Amino acid sequence: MTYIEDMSETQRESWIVLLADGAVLIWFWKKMTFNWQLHPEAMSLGAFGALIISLIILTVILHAVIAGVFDVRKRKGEIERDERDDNIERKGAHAGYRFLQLGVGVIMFGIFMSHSLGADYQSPYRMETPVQIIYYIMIVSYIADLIKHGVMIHAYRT
Amino acid sequence: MGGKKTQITNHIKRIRLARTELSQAELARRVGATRQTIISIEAQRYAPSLELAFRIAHVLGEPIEEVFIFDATSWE
Repeated sequence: MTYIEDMSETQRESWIVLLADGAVLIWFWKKMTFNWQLHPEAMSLGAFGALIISLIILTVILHAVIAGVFDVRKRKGEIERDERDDNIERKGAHAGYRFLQLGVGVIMFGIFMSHSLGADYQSPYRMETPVQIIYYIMIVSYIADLIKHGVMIHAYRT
Repeated sequence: MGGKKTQITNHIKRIRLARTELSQAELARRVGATRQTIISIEAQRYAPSLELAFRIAHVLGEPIEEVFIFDATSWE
């Protein structure tokens, strides 16, 4: 068990970003789906656009506040980050990128199947409208970010 | 915490306590690393880069081969 006072600043930041992004993802998912299903509800492009703008603003504000708080906490003369932090961040970014790559591949396959087979494509996860496509891209992006920080936290603990 | 051990073992803790009066935090400051990294290296959970290993050996006042030992038996 790693106690908060034993964590490095980058490890603490990773935890906070993981929790903040997780909360934002849950908020977005709840707004987009009925009863926590994976597939989005039918929504007008205008309403979806407003939701995406809110999501972007919320994410930017949260990340700016987190970065600001950690900047203020910096102590003079104390080393906040070193090669181990860089290695761990690289490992997390690699895992997140791999998931993003896989997710985008699955989305492209879904778009291709939905458009080429049309009504014959019986999957519950159809990707026909821009709302559906952008929704899945946003979900995959956020999960990739959560994987990045999850892998980083795991690497710090082992 | 008991994570995977590295193949490079070290005597940092023994040398630090026996021959210097450096704390983990002070050693970290002098070699340009975080205290958490020194803790991980001492617990054999993290193998430092060659540059950091040389810096640690320099600050401890010992040749690098006295501080770090490569465990070839677990590698071969």
